[in-house]
Amino acid sequence: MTAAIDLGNAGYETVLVDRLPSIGGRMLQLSETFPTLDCAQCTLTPKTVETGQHPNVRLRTYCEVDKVEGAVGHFKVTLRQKAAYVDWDKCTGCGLCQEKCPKKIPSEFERGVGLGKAIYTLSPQAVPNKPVIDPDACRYLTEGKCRVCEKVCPAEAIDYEQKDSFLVEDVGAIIVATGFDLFPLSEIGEYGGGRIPDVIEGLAFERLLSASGPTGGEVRRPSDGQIPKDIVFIQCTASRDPDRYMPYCSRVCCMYTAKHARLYKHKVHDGRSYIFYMDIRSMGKGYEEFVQQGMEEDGICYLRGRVSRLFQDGDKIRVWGVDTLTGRKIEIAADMVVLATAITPSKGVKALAEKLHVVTDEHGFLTEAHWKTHPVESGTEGIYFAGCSQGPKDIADTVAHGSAAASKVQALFANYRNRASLSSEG
Amino acid sequence: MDYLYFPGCTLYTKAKNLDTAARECAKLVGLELRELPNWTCCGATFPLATDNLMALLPPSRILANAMKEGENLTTLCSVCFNVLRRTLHLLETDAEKREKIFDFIEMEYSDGFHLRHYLEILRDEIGFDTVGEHVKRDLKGLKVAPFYGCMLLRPFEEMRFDDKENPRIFEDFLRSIGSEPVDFPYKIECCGSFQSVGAPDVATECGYSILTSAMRNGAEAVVTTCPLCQFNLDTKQKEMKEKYLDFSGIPVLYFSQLMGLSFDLPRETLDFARNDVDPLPLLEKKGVIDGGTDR
Amino acid sequence: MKFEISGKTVHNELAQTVEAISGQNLFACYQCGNCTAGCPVSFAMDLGPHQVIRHVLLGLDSEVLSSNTFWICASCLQCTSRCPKGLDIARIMDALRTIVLRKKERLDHIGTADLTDEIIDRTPQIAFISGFRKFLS
Repeated sequence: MTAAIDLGNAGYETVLVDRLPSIGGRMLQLSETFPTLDCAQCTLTPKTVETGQHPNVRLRTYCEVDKVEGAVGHFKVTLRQKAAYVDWDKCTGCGLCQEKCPKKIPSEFERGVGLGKAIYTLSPQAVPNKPVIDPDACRYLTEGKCRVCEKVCPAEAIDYEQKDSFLVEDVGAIIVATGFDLFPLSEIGEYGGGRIPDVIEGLAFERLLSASGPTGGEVRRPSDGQIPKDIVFIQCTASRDPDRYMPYCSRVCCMYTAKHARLYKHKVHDGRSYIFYMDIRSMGKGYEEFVQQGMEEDGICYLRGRVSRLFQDGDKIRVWGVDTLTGRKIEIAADMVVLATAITPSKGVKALAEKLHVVTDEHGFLTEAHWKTHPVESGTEGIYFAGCSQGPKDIADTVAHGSAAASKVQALFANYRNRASLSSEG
Repeated sequence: MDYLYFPGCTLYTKAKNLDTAARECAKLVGLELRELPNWTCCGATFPLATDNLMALLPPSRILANAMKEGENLTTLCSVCFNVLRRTLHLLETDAEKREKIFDFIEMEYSDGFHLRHYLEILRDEIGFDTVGEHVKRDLKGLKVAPFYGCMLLRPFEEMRFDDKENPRIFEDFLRSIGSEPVDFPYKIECCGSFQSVGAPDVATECGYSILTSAMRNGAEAVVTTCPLCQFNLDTKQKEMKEKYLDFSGIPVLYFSQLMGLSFDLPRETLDFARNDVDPLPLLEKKGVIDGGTDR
Repeated sequence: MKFEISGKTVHNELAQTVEAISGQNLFACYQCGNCTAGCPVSFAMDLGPHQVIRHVLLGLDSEVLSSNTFWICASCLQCTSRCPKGLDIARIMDALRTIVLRKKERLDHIGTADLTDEIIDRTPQIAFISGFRKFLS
């Protein structure tokens, strides 16, 4: 979005493609951001609205890249516009369809701790504020029953006959900002393999903390809805683990775990947090101070060491960890466990990279032209990166990265403009 | 189906109840077990010191012998299985050590040798469905906690027996013979192993943690496939009861005894007298056997 | 409490011998303690397995060789199986046992004379064979 706004402000026509129905990415799912604990949506929505309303930015949401042809200056990008089964030109965003839809499904947006409907708008502040129907969940599209949304829609916008369609955009440059995903709990057997309801990933905990989340911002156990009194947070889950999982550090977990523990303490005054860590990486402005405040003011118990395994024990979760500073094996009977799982590239990035003829590293992150001096350029002229598609980073760095990518595009276009005007003169 | 069979030191003596039942059941499911001639002790522990080649000689000799006699070998004891599997892996991957060892024992090495644990044969070659077809006695959904222990599962890269954090093979087996498997977190933890000789109190603690975990999760009995696990969990309940006065104890059986019971083998074959905690009261209470006339 | 380290103590002869016998790189250990956390018998150890590695690497020979850690180790391989750096900690424990047993004093860790008839009768042979290999010189 930062890149789109920068380029739009510079006077260039920009197309913003998102595979989700609305823009905003992962920040939409967060409750508050570190180190200020500002509300994420309050920071984000001015940007999503600005992007959506910018005269030079065209949104192509719920689209995937199908084909890329051409080269710098004249890329021809074929996009697959996925069938939303809703006519967005007619839809007014009233939300009645979602309210009345009888089909509840686990919501990908809620990361396993909340349900959504078969017809859904991604979030309350969605830009564009238009719903889509999940064809695998919808009762009509799978079984031929229901059609309630169609009945209640005041704008007659439901269209079950919609099909995927293709459209082509001619562009001079491409910025890839595909964001990130998280390492799946199902592959971490020693932490329950995703089968223990009260062992959740960090992003799911964000949804519990979030006022617009499935619990209205109350921290409650997915298993029984009780408020947990002892929460164990485990940093470096599947990160820094070359033998079994990802070898790299995911960069943001120390900070967001401190944030989680602090927000939890602010909500549950008699709650206790335990954070298992190996190191604290708090390298931004105000970050170290934030972490220290968490210890001093919010009484977070930091335990230096890893957790070997955890398992369900009655209605608690037994955590087997260690505190290397005292040298003791530590056992905790926790009410909930939050895993700071490794940041991974978004699904499908490798296939997209092949279409673009750009290189990814062995983990799927896009490879920059030079580690130090060209962080946003790919090896292919006209194609740039921004954000976590290139590697794990926080919001501040992502915004900087986005602006950097936009500035490269502007330099590229200015160069062509100059050359074109020179050649037309001479 | 033909397999060479390696019993190991305990199976014909203290762990006869593991061996006899397993062999009788094998006959019924079509698994021909032919005792490996001239077998010797496997050494009971895979040498972890990389310069210790002497300790690799006994298991290498067993494998070489088996390679001479046939194409495959099976065993029942977790410890023997671990030693033989890890030795075979070393021989397959370390040409230098393989040459030294086989030169010394003056025997031949053959590629592509199959070593399987009895349970693996049931799962992959005979099929648990076939096992189920031979069940004649209703186990009345007896709640059984399978104890895997460590030697079957680790190191995963060499053993490849089942998922090392959440294995299912034992549970699938238990279901196939009509009992109800009970999952419990200590199923993959160590029973104390040889510490029953070195630091017996430590082994008592290990066994106690395992059994109480099984009991907390609703188990009525525990099954094992290793004479050492059996000792640490069954025989050592005496020490556990001395230390923890409220510990009620729980029957611990070999999986083959339970299998044989479900196949309705004669009582002498099942040899329950060798189990230190008598399983008969439980089996009578559950109606699996009849107190009086049942043979 | 103070211990002076230098090129003479860090990665000294004991450390190098442990590395040679175990085939493991002690510098790879980043002291996460996962081994100690998952060890089923660490409750009885005076030093956790991760602390043993640290002592050996820094050159605290007498402390580590007088600890009970590698004698209590049951070689269950849970540590090895979960180490994020891929270290085979069970081999490191066995290397320390081996080093002590191979010393010229040839001291056994357990006394076979203490094994009563009762113990010998009830205990399966496996325990003796593996136990003797781990505890006797």
